[in-house]
Amino acid sequence: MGFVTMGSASHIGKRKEKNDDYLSYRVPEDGSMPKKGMLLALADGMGGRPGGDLAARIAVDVIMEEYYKDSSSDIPVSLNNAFLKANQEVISRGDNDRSILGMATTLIAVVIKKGRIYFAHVGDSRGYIIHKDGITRFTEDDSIVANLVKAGYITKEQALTYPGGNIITKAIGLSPDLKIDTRKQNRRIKKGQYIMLCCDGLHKDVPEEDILKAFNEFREPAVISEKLIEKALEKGGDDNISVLIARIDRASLFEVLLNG
Amino acid sequence: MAEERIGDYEIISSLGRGGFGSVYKAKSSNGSMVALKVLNPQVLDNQKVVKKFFHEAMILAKLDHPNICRLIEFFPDGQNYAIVMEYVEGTELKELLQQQPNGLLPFDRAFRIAKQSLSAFQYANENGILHRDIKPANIMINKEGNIKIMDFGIAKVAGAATHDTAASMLSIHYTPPERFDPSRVVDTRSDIYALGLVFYELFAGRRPFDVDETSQIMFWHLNEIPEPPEAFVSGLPQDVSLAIQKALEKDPDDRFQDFKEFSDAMGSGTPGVDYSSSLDETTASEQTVVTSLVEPAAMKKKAKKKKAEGMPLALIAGIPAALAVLLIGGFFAYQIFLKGPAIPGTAQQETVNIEYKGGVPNSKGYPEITHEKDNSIMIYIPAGEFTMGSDIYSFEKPVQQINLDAYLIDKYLVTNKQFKQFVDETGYQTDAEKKGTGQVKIGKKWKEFEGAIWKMPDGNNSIDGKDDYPVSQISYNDAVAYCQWAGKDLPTEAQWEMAARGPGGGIYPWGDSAPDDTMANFADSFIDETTPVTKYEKGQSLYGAFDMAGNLYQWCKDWYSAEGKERESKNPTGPDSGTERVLKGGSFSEGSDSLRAPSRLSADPSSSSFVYGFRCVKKAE
Repeated sequence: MGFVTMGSASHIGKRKEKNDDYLSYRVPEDGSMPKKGMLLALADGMGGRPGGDLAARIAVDVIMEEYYKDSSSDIPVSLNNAFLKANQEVISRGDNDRSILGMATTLIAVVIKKGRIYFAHVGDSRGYIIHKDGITRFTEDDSIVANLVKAGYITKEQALTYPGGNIITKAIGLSPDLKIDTRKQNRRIKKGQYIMLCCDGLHKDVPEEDILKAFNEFREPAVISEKLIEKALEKGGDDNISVLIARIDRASLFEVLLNG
Repeated sequence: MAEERIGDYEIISSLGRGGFGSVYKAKSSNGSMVALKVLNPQVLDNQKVVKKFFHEAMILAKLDHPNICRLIEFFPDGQNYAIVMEYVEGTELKELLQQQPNGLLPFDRAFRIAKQSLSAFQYANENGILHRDIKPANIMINKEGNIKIMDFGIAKVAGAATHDTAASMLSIHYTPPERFDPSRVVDTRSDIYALGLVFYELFAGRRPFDVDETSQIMFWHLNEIPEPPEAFVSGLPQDVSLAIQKALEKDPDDRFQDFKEFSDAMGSGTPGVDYSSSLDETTASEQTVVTSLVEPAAMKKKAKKKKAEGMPLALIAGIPAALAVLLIGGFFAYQIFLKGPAIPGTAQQETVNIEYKGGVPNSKGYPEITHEKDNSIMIYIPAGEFTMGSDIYSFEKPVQQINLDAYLIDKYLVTNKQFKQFVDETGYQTDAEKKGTGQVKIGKKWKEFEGAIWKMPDGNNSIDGKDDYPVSQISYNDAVAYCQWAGKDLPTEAQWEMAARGPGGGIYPWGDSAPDDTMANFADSFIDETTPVTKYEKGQSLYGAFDMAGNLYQWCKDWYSAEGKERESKNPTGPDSGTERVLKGGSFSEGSDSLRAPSRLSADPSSSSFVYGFRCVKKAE
């Protein structure tokens, strides 16, 4: 058994002509852990046009490369730097080719190191921890509706059906002046727990309790990923749907990480 | 830059990249310099957004004011859109303020900027245009010291952001509180609030809030009362301070009702100086000796913040039009060149004198009769010729003179009461009832919603007490069944369009002027549901028919084709076959472009939606 079991799935959705989602990860190989921990990333490109998928791919590829290249030993700093590089790259590629001008994407990246979770996030793709007590979201959507909830103007319940719910306030590729939400989670991740990254194609259609049910029922990340996509398709599934799941399998992973 | 030309323009240099896209300095074929904006096309498949912008551009191109940056042309550039604007050399107000010590300009200069802005906004407002994205970055100061307001109306497409992958370029710092409440009307007073915030920065050297987080800024707009600007700058005339405070009232009713009121309340600045006039070269040089610098350093201690009272916190539906989003995409091969001095007005019509047996002339002079079976009022449309179609979209083409025999058309949409009578008499079951679902907009998406049938068209609320509202959740098949029962027929697209635009070929039922919320129930009315069929008297067609624009899309008899083929010139009935039927007229959920008489939609004949209704015709005897 490895340290971690990965599973992922992505579906174009019922009403899209192409899949603008993209995901990637780097996990321990042969018992060795990269010094900067393991990295998972997922992006949901915007717009039904050529740029969306490209923006997502560029953003994820840049993150996977730049995070490990960054010289800082401070994980949030490296994540922030990598996000800024991704932003620059998406903007500059768009500016140089008007056929993809304005392409943009959400981006979420999670680093797990020494049992700690760090994340950086722009847009409305989400990160969750699934543990024995339930499901906890650790990202806040950069969306109009999420901000209206925070401002106390509408309730969480109203937010579920509030018009404009899919309009995001931040994205990679929109403006060079980007503030990234980069944080460390207080909670330690333990054996048997899961990290899930997903795009709004999943969380808009499948409520958290149904997500949790799938984890309890199916256990295997690859199976859960497929089942969640089936669920999203049952409940609507208009948008692209993507899920990336990591299950922590061995506590000894963290021994390696602690020595890491 | 991969290419050096966009359309007929030679790109000279990049002027930067804004929230709306990339901006280039470019040279036109006649050698003049222009600013060319290539818009971020984030919603290629959102035709409505493109249509809405197209309509807006036509009006914008006609604005002619010394303090408004002129829109010269708008055309597609591959999958992008290019907007050609007057090239203004100068500095953004945002930048100008940042360059000043303590963020303050000399008072006289600030006052002149304010007065010119007010004059520009008043002019635009008189022509029915809201800016919707007023912020210091949209006010340019040219080298003569005069201002030019940029990006007029461009943010309007924000309201049409209906795509699930939209991103917001929200100018959240300048967003009035009512824009977070979709049930409230957004009008001039929303622009007044945004300009009040700009003036706050202009005269107080700082924003009225000192928070950064989006949610905190939203909270401020919704709840917190600003300190008077004079609290931060000693010597600021009280008129100016009070005017800014009034502009920033939370309730639009408490603000100035137009920019002229705002301008008057600002006082005279320095007695004897006309600040509203533009500077010429001579006065521009004099401007450099303006000395009445307001002392910015005399910042007074910030008083404790108070909470505003009476702001509603609950809201449920509609689109938050606050979003200064530019979402442009599309694939229509059209191009417009628009220049002109005036905004087209409502068509003037002389009362006609036409007779029809048993008919009583309506307010437009056309005879009306009552059709007994469903007790509907029908208008007699005499035989004649009218202009059908438009050149704007390929599927609306061609523009063609069409000749129709006389017919009668329902003055109003078929109501809940009339449909109930039909169902009671026949036991008819609609397609939505058989299926158990109808289409309802949930959030931003149209979805099949359980229980959404004609008796409960939004799936939640019954039509009880809404006898005079138009029946919706009606499929084409249902509409045909009703017509058969009533001894009537569905209109052909030509009959419908003639009744909507009249022989004059107006764009809208009332003529060529853009719709507002007194004429039609459409997206900008922010009603988000149907309204009684008799409500929009001002929006009636030249023949006196109501709701030929807005409220509900209306089924026509024709099969739909997007090919834009020439029609039969006499009594056309559309293609011989097809898979979808035509719907006309726009709805409460659509933007103004869908309200144009040539605009058309199509749907499966068995599909039902909260925005589908109908009216009937019958042969004239």
